[in-house]
Amino acid sequence: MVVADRPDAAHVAADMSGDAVQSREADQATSRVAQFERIFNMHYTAVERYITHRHDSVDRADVLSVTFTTAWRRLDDCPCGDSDVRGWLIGIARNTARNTARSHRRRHAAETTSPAARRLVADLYDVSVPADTAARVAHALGQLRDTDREVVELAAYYGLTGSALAAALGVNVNVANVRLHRARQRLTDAYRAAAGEESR
Amino acid sequence: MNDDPFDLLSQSRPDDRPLQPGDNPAADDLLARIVASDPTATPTSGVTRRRGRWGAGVVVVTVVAGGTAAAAAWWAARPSDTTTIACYSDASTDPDVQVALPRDPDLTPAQQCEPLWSDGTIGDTGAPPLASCVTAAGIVAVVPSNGETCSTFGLTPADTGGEGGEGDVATQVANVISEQYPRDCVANADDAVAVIETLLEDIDADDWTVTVAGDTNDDDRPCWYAAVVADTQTVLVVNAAAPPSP
Repeated sequence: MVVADRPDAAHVAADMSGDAVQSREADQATSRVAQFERIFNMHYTAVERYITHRHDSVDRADVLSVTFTTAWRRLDDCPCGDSDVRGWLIGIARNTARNTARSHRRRHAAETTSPAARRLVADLYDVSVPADTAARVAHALGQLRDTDREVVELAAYYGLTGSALAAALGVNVNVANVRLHRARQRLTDAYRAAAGEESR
Repeated sequence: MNDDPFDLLSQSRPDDRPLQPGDNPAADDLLARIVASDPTATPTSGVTRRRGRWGAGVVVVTVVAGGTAAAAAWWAARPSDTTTIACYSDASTDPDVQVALPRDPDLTPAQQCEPLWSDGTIGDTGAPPLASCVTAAGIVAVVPSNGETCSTFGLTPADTGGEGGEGDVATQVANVISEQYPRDCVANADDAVAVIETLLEDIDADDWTVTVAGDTNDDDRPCWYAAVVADTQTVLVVNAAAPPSP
């Protein structure tokens, strides 16, 4: 009977509609996981290195965990379609590490001066930069304020510029550009001063 | 040979290849744990933000809604000479151009100096980020901040008039927020807190607290701003209308 069939047909239609919704949600979840896996695999090493270089007083595994968990929660905010994603992740790691360090600062005051510059420059030896030049760069980096040194490191070592650098530093692009420009100038000045001292 | 130290450092930039399964077991474990978790769940570990509720939020919203973050810095400053301001062309105690203006009580010092950066007096391309500092002579000097703080210019931090030794720190807090807090809309309270905590970290303001005092469900106030409360050593994160388009 046609009439008797109607409720069944409606029920089937409703089931199909429910299936479609569930299917769409499943697709979205799969897409989200795939997107996160891509940025995780692409940038995990750089973020880990950043934490090691800049924030060696904190628990690296803990900061990594919080950083990527935060990124997972805030994936909708991720500038994942462009090159800013590394800056975005480093910005999260930076805030996480700093907040962690803040709470322990008084107990770990001696650890807040990271040997990042020494480690960074040590890598120069691996790319055929003469030892005396690398030493001069190390000296120049050591002369910078930590805020300048951080900007130089993020730009030179992690390749962050423009909006990616701004995302990492938590400032707007203009401020980031100016800070980089000034930090580079101070680095150059310190480097030349070191060269002048050597030639005397 | 390239003798630019920045370029030399850039040579050491690692060429990271994407992680592959099995490369790093710890990373594999972390990734598996994260993607198995509910992304909407409230985090239970990691950062503990000092956060609270602010009963008198209405007053603070009024302060923030009435001006920009730069106004907060001015509110915090208390120069000995309240009749004159100076607009500097450089972030220096010895600027190339220095223009003295009578103080207009209806404008912030930065607002008074901004036109000079467009009419050719100091510049013709518009004002950069400006900071209001206080000189050794007790005069407000409006300088291009460029992400730096007053003390880095060699200018004496302004006196907020606060009690004890907190005055200078309060001014530094106000100045660094004025100079470096994003000018465009910060649409997420967590982001605002993170930015402010980073800025506090920059100036070693360890004893300061960041407090979210706004309503996260108010669609008419979608942007988050900072307001400095020197007395309680607190930076309030409050929401208000979007800033005007430039």
